[in-house]
Amino acid sequence: MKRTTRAIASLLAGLMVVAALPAAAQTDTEPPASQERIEHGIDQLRERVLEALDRRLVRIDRLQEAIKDSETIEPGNAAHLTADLSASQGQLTALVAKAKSASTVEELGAIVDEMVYEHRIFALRTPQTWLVLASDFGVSVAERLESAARTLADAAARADAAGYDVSEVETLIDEARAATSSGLTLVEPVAETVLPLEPADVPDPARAMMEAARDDMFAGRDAYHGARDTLRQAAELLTEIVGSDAA
Amino acid sequence: MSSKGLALVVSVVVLSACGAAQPEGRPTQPGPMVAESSTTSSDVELTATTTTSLTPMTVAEPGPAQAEHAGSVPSATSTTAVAGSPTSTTTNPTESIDFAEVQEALDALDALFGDLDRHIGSVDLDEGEAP
Repeated sequence: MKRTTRAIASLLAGLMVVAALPAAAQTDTEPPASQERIEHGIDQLRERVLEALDRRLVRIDRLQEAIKDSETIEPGNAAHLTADLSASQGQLTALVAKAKSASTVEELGAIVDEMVYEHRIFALRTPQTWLVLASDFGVSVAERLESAARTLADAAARADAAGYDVSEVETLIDEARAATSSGLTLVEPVAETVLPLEPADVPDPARAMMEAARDDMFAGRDAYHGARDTLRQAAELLTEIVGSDAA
Repeated sequence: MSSKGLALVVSVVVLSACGAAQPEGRPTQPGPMVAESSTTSSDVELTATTTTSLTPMTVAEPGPAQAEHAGSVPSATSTTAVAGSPTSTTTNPTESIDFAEVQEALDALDALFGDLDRHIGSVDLDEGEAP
């Protein structure tokens, strides 16, 4: 697989060179003016490689910032992601220096190879980071849902103590708790599923695993929505029960 | 005066008599001389009667159907009768229901869902890795 992807990378790099250097194949027979065109083409290619490296470094910064700003990410998960991103950051920064001094198409092609296939910033690190952040955030949402359910259950208990029949309210709260639990079951494992993925896992099995993880996040979110709506319904019913008597 | 009211008066007299028999210096002594019960405002008279028996008990069936006062909100009476110095405090359990707190908790969830959507929406598996 690696050989294949490297071959594709070389091909891509080659295509870029062909586009930039239409006369590259006749280098030895071309007059000095063409040599200047070749050098100009390599400069252009270098610029594109540097831009590609910069886009990845900017993305890494953004991801690291998001991890740093997160109040809900598990410390262990944050450390894992940060370590991977920092390693890529260091190696890509070294590639920038290498690209600046590269003088041949082959050197630049090797840099492109390493940049793409050894780091997979866009195809792996980015969605991986967002999925872990979403998963850990989703766990915190479940905690907040449970907290809201407790608040409502306390209120229902007080109404019950005052003699109101709140059995329907309690049933709704139980339903909301079940939905929360169901959502949590989907959301919580996502982080530990995608965290071990490495660049060599792209496209398979990383792509399929991340797709499944994202689907679980959506399904978990829907379960949370159901829990929230049920809690709202329970709150309205409780208000109605207590309020109707005061009216 | 209703029969319940009459019972209350009688009960208070009995209670006072019991208090008079207590040794001075132990007005707040817990135990057999202190009886607590919770019930509704509509049962205040019954509560006083209960207190005289010095047996902790809850008078059953409070609730909307028994509300007799303006506003009809059932309230609980927590009566602590201490021999010699009976005191009574009234709290309404429904008054302690903080609906604003419940609403606040639910509204806060809406904001969280917005953030959750943003997190999930950030996952783009099709961005590609083209140089």
